[in-house]
Amino acid sequence: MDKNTDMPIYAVDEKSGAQGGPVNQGSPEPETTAAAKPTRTLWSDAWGRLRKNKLAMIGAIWIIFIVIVALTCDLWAPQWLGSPTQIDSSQMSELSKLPPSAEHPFGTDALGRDVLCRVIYGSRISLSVGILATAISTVIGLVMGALAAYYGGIWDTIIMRLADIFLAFPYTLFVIVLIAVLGQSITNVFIAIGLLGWPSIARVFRSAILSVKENDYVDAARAMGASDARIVIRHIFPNSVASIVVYATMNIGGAILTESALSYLGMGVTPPTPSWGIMIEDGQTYLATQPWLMLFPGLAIITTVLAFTLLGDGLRDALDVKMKDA
Amino acid sequence: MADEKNAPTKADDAAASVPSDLEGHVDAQGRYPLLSVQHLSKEFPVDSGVFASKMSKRVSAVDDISFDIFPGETFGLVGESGCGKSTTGRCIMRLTNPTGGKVFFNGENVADMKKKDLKSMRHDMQFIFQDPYASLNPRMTIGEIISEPLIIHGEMTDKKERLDFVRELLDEVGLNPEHINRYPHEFSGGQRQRVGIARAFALRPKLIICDEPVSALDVSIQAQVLNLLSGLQEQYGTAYLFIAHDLSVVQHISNRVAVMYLGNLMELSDWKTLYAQPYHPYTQSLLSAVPVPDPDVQRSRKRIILAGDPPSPIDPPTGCRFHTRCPIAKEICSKERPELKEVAPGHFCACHFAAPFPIKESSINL
Amino acid sequence: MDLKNQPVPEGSHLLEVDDLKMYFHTQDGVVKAVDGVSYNLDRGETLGVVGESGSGKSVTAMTIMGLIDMPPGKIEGGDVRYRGLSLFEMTEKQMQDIRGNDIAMVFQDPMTSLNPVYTIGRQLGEGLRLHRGYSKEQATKRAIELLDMVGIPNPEQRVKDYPHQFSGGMRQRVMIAMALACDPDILIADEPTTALDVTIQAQIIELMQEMQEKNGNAIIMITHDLGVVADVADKIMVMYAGRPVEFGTADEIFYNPVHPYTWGLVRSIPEALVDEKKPLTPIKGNPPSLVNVPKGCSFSPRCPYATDRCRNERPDTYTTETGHYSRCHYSMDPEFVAKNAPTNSRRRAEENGAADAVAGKGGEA
Repeated sequence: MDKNTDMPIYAVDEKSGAQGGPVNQGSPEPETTAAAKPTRTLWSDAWGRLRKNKLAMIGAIWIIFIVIVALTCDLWAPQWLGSPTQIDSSQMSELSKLPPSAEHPFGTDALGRDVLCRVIYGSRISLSVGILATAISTVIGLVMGALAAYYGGIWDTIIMRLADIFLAFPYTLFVIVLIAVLGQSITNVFIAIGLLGWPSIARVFRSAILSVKENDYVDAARAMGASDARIVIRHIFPNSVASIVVYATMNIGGAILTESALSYLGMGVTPPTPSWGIMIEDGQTYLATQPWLMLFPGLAIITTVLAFTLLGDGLRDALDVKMKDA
Repeated sequence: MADEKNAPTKADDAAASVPSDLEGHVDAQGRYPLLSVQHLSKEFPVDSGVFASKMSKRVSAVDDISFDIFPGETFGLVGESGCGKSTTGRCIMRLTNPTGGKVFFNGENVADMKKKDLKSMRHDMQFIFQDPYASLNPRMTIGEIISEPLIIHGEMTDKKERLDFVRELLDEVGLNPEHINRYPHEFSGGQRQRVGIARAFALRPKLIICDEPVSALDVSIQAQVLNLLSGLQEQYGTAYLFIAHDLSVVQHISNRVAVMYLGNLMELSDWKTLYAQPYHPYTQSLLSAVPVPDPDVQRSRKRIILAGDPPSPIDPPTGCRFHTRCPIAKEICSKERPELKEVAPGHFCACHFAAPFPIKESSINL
Repeated sequence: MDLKNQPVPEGSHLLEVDDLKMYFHTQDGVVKAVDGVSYNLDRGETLGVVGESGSGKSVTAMTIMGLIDMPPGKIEGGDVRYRGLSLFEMTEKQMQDIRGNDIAMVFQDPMTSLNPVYTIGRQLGEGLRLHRGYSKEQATKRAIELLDMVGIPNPEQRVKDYPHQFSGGMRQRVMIAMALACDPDILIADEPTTALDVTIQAQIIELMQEMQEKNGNAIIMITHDLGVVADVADKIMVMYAGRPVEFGTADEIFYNPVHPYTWGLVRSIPEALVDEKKPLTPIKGNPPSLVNVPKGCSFSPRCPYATDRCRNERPDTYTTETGHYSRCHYSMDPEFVAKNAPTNSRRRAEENGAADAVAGKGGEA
């Protein structure tokens, strides 16, 4: 049942208008409730709704925290926890595989490096892969999706069938093959994950455009004589961008997972650069005896991916204009 | 306020040299029509996409209809859902391309206009949509929405002047000018429809196609919007093509009314005669089906209840398209399509048995 | 247990709605969707519920059926009694037995209220198999009878068809057949003809009346169209902003309305014109937000006769001996009513005298 229709929440100030035509606003009607509320833009409205979503806000705070840590860790982490990569061979045996303590909150790994420090530096790889790869996918996906939806016909058929073919391949295998062809490096991890991520974004954007195109306001713009470019920029894009924001946010989490999987399989970042995937791979040998070696990078992956998913979910609800419409 | 831009436009020049297609289409005052729809047809393919064959079936949404609209008048187009009335409006506005016939607006054929001419045509012809929720972009303020036609047509390039004009328009349609920066979701359905009306009037068009502008509104709001439309028409002399399914609404606003059924025009007359003395059995049964909010009248009057549903426009009946539901259909009705003939001065009807109140009590079991 | 075969207890009605309140708790505040609705209904009667969108007329019906999601909905007071038993005290299992079997509902949109993946026959038979334990064959046989009863040609064939093979009017007939399948006591019809064309609307209304004559069930007809209730209703409840503002017999509401909102509604309807164009008389302004219902009478901001008393003091229910009630401070003032109420065919007929009473009714068009 549509509760929304029963909850009109709009300006309550309308003048009589009983006879049409110009109506002089002799004595301004009392506008108590409506005037008290400042006009809200849709974005600030969405922010208001997002703020009330506790899970999404937890996700957002966690993401902001990780981003700050990743950006600033050079300034404080080495002094506190030592180098994430360098091995002090003289002290290695004493420092190897220490359990969590005040000095090493997450313990140390087999080579005597601080696990917390490596988790902190690992966030740099994970975040940059997540964001850059998603950026590449999004740009390609937006262009492809827009071409398919707006021009339709043969464009639509070619692009969408191409997307289907991409989606029919086993994704991780495809990424591995691509890295094998391009050569193993962190840049190529960005490129491989980014290149292969576009089909789903293209699909989401295409269907968003198609549903926006159905709206009368697009016809209204055409009936006013608006050009194609104006219709796309002023009417279609602003109304379909929300779904892309949501999807891209969730996609970042997916890209982080893929990078971890690649590193775990030895196809991603090369040691000694710390990456959560590599750390799990390193730590799994000691799962039974020194579980923290695997636990902490694993927790980092789970919480970060979960944070992006929660934020994405929250954004979806917050940006849905229909919640206020209809 | 906008008079300077209403100075002689291309349209008036065109009216001076009337193309041969408009000859004979004059009204009582000798004026040429503002809009002349001639043998308009629109077919949609049933399948679409790459694999649709050339042989696939077609929906004949509008089939060979003709009518004229004169400057400043309201022409009502009534019919049930799927009768092609909205498609007719969209063809005239070229929101969809007609598949046959001509549409003369200001003496020029809209049906084969190129993009550039279409844009200038759309300066003088505007559209009001049925759904006040879907027809306003939720991401734009109502100020932006109403200024958009002005921006597109490069009028009032000075922002302050434009916004002042928009405020004036808001006041004119009965909205608070201070709400210029609000978003559509902050308004009710009736208020949004007023925004749509302000947008349509921004360019002071000569013709506005109103596609069911009040059918999504509650009765009390519907009456407000209808009065607003009449008031604005009186002030600016705009002609309306008023498309609706509600006969009483159409009667209130229109000068002349045409009734459509399954893509065909069935009857066309001035508002008084069409309602007082329908010649077409379909018009008569439509009028009879409207419930009157008066139990005494409801109990006493005899009503014609048409059997069955309107047939599918994919495979429309041969001959008269109404014959499958018509209580007085004879053999000829399934064979020959009746022409739209003038049955009385200014009163046209497409029926082989056109007569005042053609369905008699004896012709059906009431 | 088949409730509808038990007698209605002495002193009770078939359905009694008593000061029903259903509020929704939302982010924006408490929406008082239904705020104090009361009425009684007996077998064979038709109650028309009239109001504009957001007036709470549908929510009332959904609450009776127990179809409101709680939360966000919450029953804040009142009771609904069916044959003397409170529906709110029943378990979900008991409500399931009542839904469809004792009280059935027809929805506005015949396009979305049928499941597209099952045949019409299966959907029609579902209730019978559920409530009556029919076998598959019995259910199909009954489905064919029902389709025939609601005037669908060739029912033996159509019973195997899927919803998309039916037109809008035909689907609404199927919905009515489905609602009547278990021979319910009460049929709630929520805007059953709003999505349909006038010629089809006439068919559906006639069908519902025919079925009522045959089965003797009660009907609650929810609509925004006064024309439709004029056709069918014995009693009418006019709702505004979640509250009933006037209740009476059809004759009372049409020929002797006392609430200014009812007057406004009547005046807003475009009446058939005969000689000259007349401007319509709308109600000014917009319906209030249900989160922020005006203090005093909820109609006062739009009421042309509102006084300070109306704006500050919520009106009580004023009831006449015949049960005609109104929530307006001035509805018991005959002078006020006589001066401001819109005219109607009966009044005109009286004024014109008996001689030309017939002409005053406005005739055919």
